Amino acid sequence: MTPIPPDQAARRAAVEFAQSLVANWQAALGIELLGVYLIGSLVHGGFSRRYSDVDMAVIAEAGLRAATMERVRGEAAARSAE
Amino acid sequence: MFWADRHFVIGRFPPLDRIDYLDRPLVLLERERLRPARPTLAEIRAYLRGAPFANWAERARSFAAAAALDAKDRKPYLRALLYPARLCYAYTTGRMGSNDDAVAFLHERPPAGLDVASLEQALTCRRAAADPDPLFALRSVLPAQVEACAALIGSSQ
Repeated sequence: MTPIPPDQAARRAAVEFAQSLVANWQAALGIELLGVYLIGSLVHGGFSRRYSDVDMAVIAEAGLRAATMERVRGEAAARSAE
Repeated sequence: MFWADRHFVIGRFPPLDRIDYLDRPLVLLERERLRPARPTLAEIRAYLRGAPFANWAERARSFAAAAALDAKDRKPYLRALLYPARLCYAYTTGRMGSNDDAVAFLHERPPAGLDVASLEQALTCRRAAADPDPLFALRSVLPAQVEACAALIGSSQ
């Protein structure tokens, strides 16, 4: 079996990680949440396991409050450390 | 992270990232697809001439004056080396491209005074996910890269 290139494996893991955060956004925003997307190198190519960021875009009816962002960021950081 | 309200009036969603959202998002959840106005080339250029250029120029000059590369600065250093590629590509074309796209474009259409060879070296390092320490000597080209980019964005407002 051909091994998966490291950047490709990392990209897959990053997408799965982002998908796992959607539930947090839903819990935090409820029906205010209009969409959650990935953009950037995860989508248009050139993702680097070392140098790329995970660029997530969140659209909500009235935007995001600082407290909501902090809460979801904290949950993401905790999950990232697992 | 980028975010906006329904009307894309409040939030943090710069023009190039908005183009990325319009053209090729990977949908994780969608209740309603919103389509904000597509940023014009003039808007993209005005944005790039502002904080993105100023912040990069400051970092580039700081790295150029540094005596050593701290481990914590490896990622920002490689980004500082590569940023002129993204800046010149986006400024010229109005498109959001990968680092690979940008460096390939600059091979064909290098702005006056821009050192494309150093961009190529940085891109090779990025692709290999390697430490940029062997490229630390390239910090000496950064002030000239800043000048080349300043000339580009100053000449086509």
